Amino acid sequence: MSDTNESGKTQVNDIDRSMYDFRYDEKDFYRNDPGLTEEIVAKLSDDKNDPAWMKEFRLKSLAVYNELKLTNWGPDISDLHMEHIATYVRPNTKMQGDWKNVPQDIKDTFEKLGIPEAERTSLAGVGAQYDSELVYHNVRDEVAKQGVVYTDFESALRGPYAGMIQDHFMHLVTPRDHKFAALHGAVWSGGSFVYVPKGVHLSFPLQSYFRLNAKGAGQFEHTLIIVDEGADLHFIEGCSAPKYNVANLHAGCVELYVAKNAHLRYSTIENWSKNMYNLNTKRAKVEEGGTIEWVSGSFGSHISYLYPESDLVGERARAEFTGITFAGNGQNLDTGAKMVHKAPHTSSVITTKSISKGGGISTYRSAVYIAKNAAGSKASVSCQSLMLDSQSRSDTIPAMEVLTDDADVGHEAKIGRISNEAVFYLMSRGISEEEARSMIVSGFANPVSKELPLEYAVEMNNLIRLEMKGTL
Amino acid sequence: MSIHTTINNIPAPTWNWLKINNAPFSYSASVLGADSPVQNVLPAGVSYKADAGSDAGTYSGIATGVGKNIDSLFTDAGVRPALITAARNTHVSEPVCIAFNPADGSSTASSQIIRAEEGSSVTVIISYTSDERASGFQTVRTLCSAGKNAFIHLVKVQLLGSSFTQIDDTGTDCEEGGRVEITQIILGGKETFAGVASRLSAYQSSFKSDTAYLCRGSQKLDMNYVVRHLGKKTDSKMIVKGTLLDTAEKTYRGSIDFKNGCSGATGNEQEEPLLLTPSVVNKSIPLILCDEEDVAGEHGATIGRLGEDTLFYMQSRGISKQAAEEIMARAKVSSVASLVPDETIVTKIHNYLDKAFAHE
Repeated sequence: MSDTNESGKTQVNDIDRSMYDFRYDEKDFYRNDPGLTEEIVAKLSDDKNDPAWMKEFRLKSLAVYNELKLTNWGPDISDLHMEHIATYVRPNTKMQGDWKNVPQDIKDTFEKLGIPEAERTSLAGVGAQYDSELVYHNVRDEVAKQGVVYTDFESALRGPYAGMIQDHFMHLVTPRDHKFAALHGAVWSGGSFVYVPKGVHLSFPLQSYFRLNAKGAGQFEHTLIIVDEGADLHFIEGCSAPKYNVANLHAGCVELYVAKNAHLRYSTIENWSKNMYNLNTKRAKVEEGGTIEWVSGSFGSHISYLYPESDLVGERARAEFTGITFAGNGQNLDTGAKMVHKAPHTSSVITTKSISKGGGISTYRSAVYIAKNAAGSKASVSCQSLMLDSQSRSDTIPAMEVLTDDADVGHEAKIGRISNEAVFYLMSRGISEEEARSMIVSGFANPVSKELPLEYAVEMNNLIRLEMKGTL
Repeated sequence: MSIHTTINNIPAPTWNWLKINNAPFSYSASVLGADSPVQNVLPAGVSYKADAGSDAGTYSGIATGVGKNIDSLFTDAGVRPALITAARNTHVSEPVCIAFNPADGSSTASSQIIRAEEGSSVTVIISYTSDERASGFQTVRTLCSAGKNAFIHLVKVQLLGSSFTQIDDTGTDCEEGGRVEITQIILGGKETFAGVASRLSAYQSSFKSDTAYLCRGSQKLDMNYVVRHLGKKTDSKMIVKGTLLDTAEKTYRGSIDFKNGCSGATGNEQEEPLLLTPSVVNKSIPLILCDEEDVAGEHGATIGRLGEDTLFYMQSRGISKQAAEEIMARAKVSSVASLVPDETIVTKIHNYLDKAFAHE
């Protein structure tokens, strides 16, 4: 895992991604032509048997995409060429409700990622997307009996919830938000729809796992979750992909509606391969007394733009964002959060940690906006960055806009390296230097890992331990 | 002349919808070059040239906080910077005082270069005053160059009339062990753009700034402070504090930029805006940009009204809420004013505050 350089300092090697870095042929898969034209989008819509309004929505989104420019901030994505990206790859199966009916190669993929085992032991329902389509979706009977809806997005679009979908789809994140939100509107495919009825509390999480196997393709899943009044849900999102030598693109969209006094925790472990452009958009709208909690771990991707936004529109609505970003060699991860306070007595807390190593670039970017009518609101931001070597980079760009005097906004940020004093202290108690450094980094990440489901926390700590092995 | 540009540009931009990446600036009127008049007898060890002449080129590469986009204001007005030099190994105890008192309706541009030769120290106080209701436009650029182990303390006090627009642009550069401290108090004017850029390229060079403001009525204050650490064991500290009242608007951009190779560098910035009325607008963006492992950077901000504990403490001692708020607003300015080594200027600051709060 480690090598010693000329100065005698041990190099930190990259994360061992072998457990994610396997692939299968696209045997009998359907793949559309690469690029982005009106014809491609119209054909995609026809292939998916979209309702008329959705086809129109896609074409309008494409027009917006062509109109909008790339951002003038953030990592450079000029090497992402849409003309080389296949926006739709359909696996050789329909969506299954029984695991044994899923094709063997796809089944093997998710078995290796531990999804079926997790479903058996700790989840209330699972959705598994392979390339552009859901291949498996299931929810426990007792959960379904409570009226909880957890289904693939295409079924929802044509089933009894079609009206609900039309009323909510891309209303929080509109195609005009930015160029890749428009792209999503044009070519979205797959994803999940969740509805938790009033007062229903799910004791186990639901989980969707997104796997992009296809080379040179994009994944554009749409997740729409509505947690009705007084209900409670924990939703987990995982994603991974094998590494290719050409660019892959992920431009998903997550829209979360948290009703009065409802609670939603949305946990994500993002572990895309290092050829991935992760240009994802996530937003939650929280009504009176409601709570959204984001827990986010960003480990993969070549380039990432990811800033979940919480719109606190009801009195006493609350948001928390807890995130960790680990940027290694070849990675430029621009992550953070947006908190928009639009009602009185709302509150938000952002706690982030970022680690940069091996030439990786980590940027923490945030915005806290307190509107004029958000009197009595409170916001707190804490971001800490750890630099593991001088080839890496770490930036902190937090913005705050306060339009009322009756607000309390606190912000603190720290950046630095592993303290020699702390290492010395641990070594004086008989701990090796390597182990001491590993312990310090794990401790640094602890506020995030303790918020994750146990199996993810273990995985994250393993990744960190692996990363830190031989960092003398 | 006519200028339409952006100033106070942030080193690493963010979302455009926040409208915080820069300040749009437009001006269409003739601007006249103005001298930088020294008010007192020059202290021993200090020389003054009203026109730096060819020496100005030596310092023209010093970056400033407001930025190059306003260069044309100075060139078109034919501004020739004044040069103030503290001789080698001279510790000048008396400050050099430059006072601007622009007339109502005036539109001027001025520039100064302050050079402290090796081992010297000097304080320069630049004050801006005008009639209380005067209007006009003033742009001032100050470049500081601290030689090896030299020290410059630059004080800027802005007490302009309520209809003035001012651009106050500063850039500093230090040689090994050199240090620049800036004390800046901004109370007057209708619209003020203040920018400071500090380049710490040499070993153990350092920078410190203390800034205080009071913005009331419809005053607008837009600030951009940038410290670039290039040298080893360089150190910076920026403290910004002030009060917003009525419909005042304030934007603060503060950037600590650790460049690769500045091992052992430390940077710290703190911001404390006190918001006292419901219609104020406060924007803040404190950045840390880090391209070096062996550094320690910190920033913190506390934004909002007077803390409940502080208010309770004061009210329990018979002080009304309004009086408590005034005390705290004054305290923010007074704590920075205490760093001004000139009693006359300090008295002017307090008189200005007396008038400001008498209007409330």
